[in-house]
Amino acid sequence: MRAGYSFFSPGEVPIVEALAELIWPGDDETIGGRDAGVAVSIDRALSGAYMDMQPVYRLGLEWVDQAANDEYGANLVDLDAEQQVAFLETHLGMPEPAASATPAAEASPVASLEVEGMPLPGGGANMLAGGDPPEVADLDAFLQIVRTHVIEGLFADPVYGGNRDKRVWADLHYGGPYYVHTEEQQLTMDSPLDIPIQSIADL
Amino acid sequence: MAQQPRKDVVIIGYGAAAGPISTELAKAGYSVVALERGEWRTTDDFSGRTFDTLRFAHRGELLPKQSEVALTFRSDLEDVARPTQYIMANMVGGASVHWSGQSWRYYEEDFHLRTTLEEMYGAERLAYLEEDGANIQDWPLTYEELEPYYDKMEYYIGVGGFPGNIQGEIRPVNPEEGNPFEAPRERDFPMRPLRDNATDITFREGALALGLNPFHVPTAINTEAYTNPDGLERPACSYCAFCTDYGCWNDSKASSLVALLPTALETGNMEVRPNSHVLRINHENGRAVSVDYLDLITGEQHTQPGDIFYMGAYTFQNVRTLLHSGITGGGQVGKYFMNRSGPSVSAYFDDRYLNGWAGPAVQRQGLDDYNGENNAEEKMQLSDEDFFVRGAFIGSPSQRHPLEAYNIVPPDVPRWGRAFKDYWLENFNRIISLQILQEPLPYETSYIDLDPNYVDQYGVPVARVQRQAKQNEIRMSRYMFQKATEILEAAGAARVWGNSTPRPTATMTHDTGGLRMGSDPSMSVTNKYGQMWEIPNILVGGGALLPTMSGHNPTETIWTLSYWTADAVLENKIDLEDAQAFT
Repeated sequence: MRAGYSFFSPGEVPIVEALAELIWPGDDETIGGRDAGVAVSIDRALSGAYMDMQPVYRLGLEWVDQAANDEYGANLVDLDAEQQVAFLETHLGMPEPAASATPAAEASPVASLEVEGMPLPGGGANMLAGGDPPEVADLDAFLQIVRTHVIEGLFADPVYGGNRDKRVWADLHYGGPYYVHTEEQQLTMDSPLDIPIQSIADL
Repeated sequence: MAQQPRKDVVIIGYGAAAGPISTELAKAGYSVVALERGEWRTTDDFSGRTFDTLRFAHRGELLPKQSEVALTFRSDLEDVARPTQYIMANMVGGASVHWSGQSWRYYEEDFHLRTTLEEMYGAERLAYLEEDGANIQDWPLTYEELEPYYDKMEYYIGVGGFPGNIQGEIRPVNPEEGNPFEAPRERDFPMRPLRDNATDITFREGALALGLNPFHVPTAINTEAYTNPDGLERPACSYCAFCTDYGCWNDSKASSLVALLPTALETGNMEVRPNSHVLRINHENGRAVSVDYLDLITGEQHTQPGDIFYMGAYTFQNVRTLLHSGITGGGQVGKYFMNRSGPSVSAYFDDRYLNGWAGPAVQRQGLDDYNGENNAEEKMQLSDEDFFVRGAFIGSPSQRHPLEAYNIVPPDVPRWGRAFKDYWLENFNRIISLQILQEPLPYETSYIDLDPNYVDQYGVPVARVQRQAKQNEIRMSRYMFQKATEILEAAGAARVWGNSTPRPTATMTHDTGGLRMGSDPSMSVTNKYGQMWEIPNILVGGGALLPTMSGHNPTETIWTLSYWTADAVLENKIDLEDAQAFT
């Protein structure tokens, strides 16, 4: 059963799901962005932590189909698989410029959100006294934000609606949160750790 | 406006630096109040429910909203500075609650850098620094003077490590472990460091293959149940992986909140007022008399009078509060700001798994062979175009959760789609991304002032940061990129990549300088005890005091200087009427 949506309209959900699947495609072995519930996780974020970005999404999803129609004569979800990939190559880049090779490392916990000229999710330049409401320059900038939010939905705890049944973590061989790691686990080098995958709910 | 009862000591911001001095003065019978603009969280707030990479590492839940504490930044003085995010928590305990825990003493030479560099390299080789506006000064105190206070910090707050140098004897406890370059310590650490994990072993292999001297970094994280000299007991680390950017679930990671505040509160002389935002310091005839602060819950403004005022907030906020109060130190307040920028170097392996998510960030081997002037002989051989001074610590962090690691991708791998996913399915448990902690220098053009365009929601101008990467940082970055790459290649990495160009930012958690101590009042803000020349009953704490930076994390030195300043008050080494009358 599908979860309910509190922000996306019925027409918007398939667009978000298509983008999520393009960014993290599923196959026989591993889950993709659509089945992982990424659209739900973004919907919940836009209904809460990222509420100030609602207008960005409402407009941005319109831009997606405008551009798809301009370039291919149909909405994104009606394009064939090759056309969808080509569309995203045009607007999301392939690969990104080398500057983004900078690892988040530990320089800044928010380094990954520092996208020049864009509002930060959950507050940003717009929040400063005298600032402006959030706005995004164009479709390409919007899709960069969508990409970050898709990755959040995939990689975050399933409590946020994505990473359904911890499937993305299972595919990565990531064990999730643990209070204790043993020395034997930490010295394991011949395989990924073979321990049960936990979420916050399991602690 | 409500007038609060007078206190002996008013702490403006209960960050890391505030911990030692408020505890020591409360123990000695002083009445102390800490005004902290953030909330008062406790360890109960950091249970497994906070093992949440989205909320903490990614969204920075502990960090203030930009509407509350803001910064603006420009790297080019011709530009208009733009708002940027603050990455240090506003809370009781400050960033010491969510820090990584690396705990270092500075080198002896860090305390007299100007003299060291002039003697080693001579004016001609250093001319490029002069051209770039470097203003390097010796500290007004020596390592020898501070050593007993480092010792005190390590035993009261709890630091684990292998000694590299006890009274001149190198690696006296374990010939394979400890930083052989460290400054001589009087005695051993109170406990050992965190154990090694697969990432550490891999880094160590690479370093040893190159003939370098790797060691496990010292950390202010208990590796055994430890009771400090005040009788405060805290447990051992459980090797959970929610450390840097998180509060510690079991108090094993030291912070001013859990390692110092309980002792201060026990005296009955310490009061903490959270949600109390200091707006300005009121001063008359060269003496501070009170502070005005807002109760952020009720919106009421209060005035808190006191005898001694201690700047215990973060660098930007300390500078901003002073400037907004009209205290400029003859133009010195805000000058010589420093923070780090440098290369990034990452790798993946195809012959092993590292499982780097399954442990705290500072379970970490590292090396100092390229730090400070430890490799001076090699640097002397460099051409004029490549020559640089100082260096960097290089280490191997863990705590690589998916949402904290997703940017560690080689430049030619797409950021989405099948190839992106395949990269992660193959390499999530096989990546290393190094910490390269470059030492920056103080420059005339790197400073903090009040922004002319932006105010916060209380109407106070925000701190504006000016900072550039100069020739020394750029050359060092090229060199360190090469050295770090060599280490990972020697360790057997299948692919090494990165970026050799430093990218300056407003803030990176080692934001220092701005209120530097010195011997000459015309070139510094405080004397050797952190006492302001201009207003002698204001004492300064935190990274802003540092005249130079070092290639090591600053927190241990910040805590140590707070003990040093506390002792100056208790032993009457300073005169609160006259900052020049110290002994």
